[in-house]
Amino acid sequence: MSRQGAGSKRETLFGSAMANWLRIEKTERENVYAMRFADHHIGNPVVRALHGGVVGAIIEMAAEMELARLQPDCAVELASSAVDYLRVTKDADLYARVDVVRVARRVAFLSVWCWQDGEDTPVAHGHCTLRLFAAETA
Amino acid sequence: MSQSVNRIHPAQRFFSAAHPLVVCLSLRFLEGDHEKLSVAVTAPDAFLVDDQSGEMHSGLSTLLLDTVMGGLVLGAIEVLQPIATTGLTTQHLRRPRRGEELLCKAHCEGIHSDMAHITGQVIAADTGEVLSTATGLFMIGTRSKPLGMRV
Repeated sequence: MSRQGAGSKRETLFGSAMANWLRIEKTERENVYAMRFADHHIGNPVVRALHGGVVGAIIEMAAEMELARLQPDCAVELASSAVDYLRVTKDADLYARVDVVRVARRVAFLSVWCWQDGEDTPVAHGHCTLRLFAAETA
Repeated sequence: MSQSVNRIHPAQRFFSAAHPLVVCLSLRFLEGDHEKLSVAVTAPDAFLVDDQSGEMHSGLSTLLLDTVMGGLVLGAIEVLQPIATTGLTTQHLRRPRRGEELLCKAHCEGIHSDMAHITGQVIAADTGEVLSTATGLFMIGTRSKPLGMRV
């Protein structure tokens, strides 16, 4: 039952290979993150739709980045995610808006809405549960 | 008798294709039939979240699970047709580590009304430790034309 990691801080998340692979960026809105489209994000090459796992991964990464922004003295790590795929996606940029449901002392609950054409036509919604680690253990 | 003896599993064909995501993951088909599918992968550096600790992002497990569970659906249906993930719930016990040998296993719980109910796990190959578990819901028979071609 050992636990090697103690979460990641915001700068680590943004500088990571995973962030580079996802091509995730900040936007002008603090709680909105953008995934710049790349061919390796495609799941079905016939339909040119984004891979469901890629959408899940961007939801998880955006939730971690947003919690790390709000809790700069803590390290964060995802514990679980539940994603509903609401509409078919296409080979284009994806945006993720992260809303905080509740941040407790050791755990946080965040809601993530994703869209491509417009915020009023979301393509996916995720609910994420994250662990928070105090600075001395981070 | 396992279907894998009689024919190539659709997931095996997909994993050997020049699909950009599959190339990134370097999935290795182990075994599969219409009820279960097992795939091996060496945790690729592209999914590192912390270069110092050597931890991978949990999104790697999410990607693996969606890919392998979706691949199982292709092997579970009678006639090959497009599928789409409609729901994916994932529990992450711990992050994979750099270069760790992983197994991703999926099991088909059932198919009802064009919806396939799949469960999956990501496991450390050397110890059997469970890293992530998931349940996935997949729609069978989706629109196959690209969005730009639809009228």
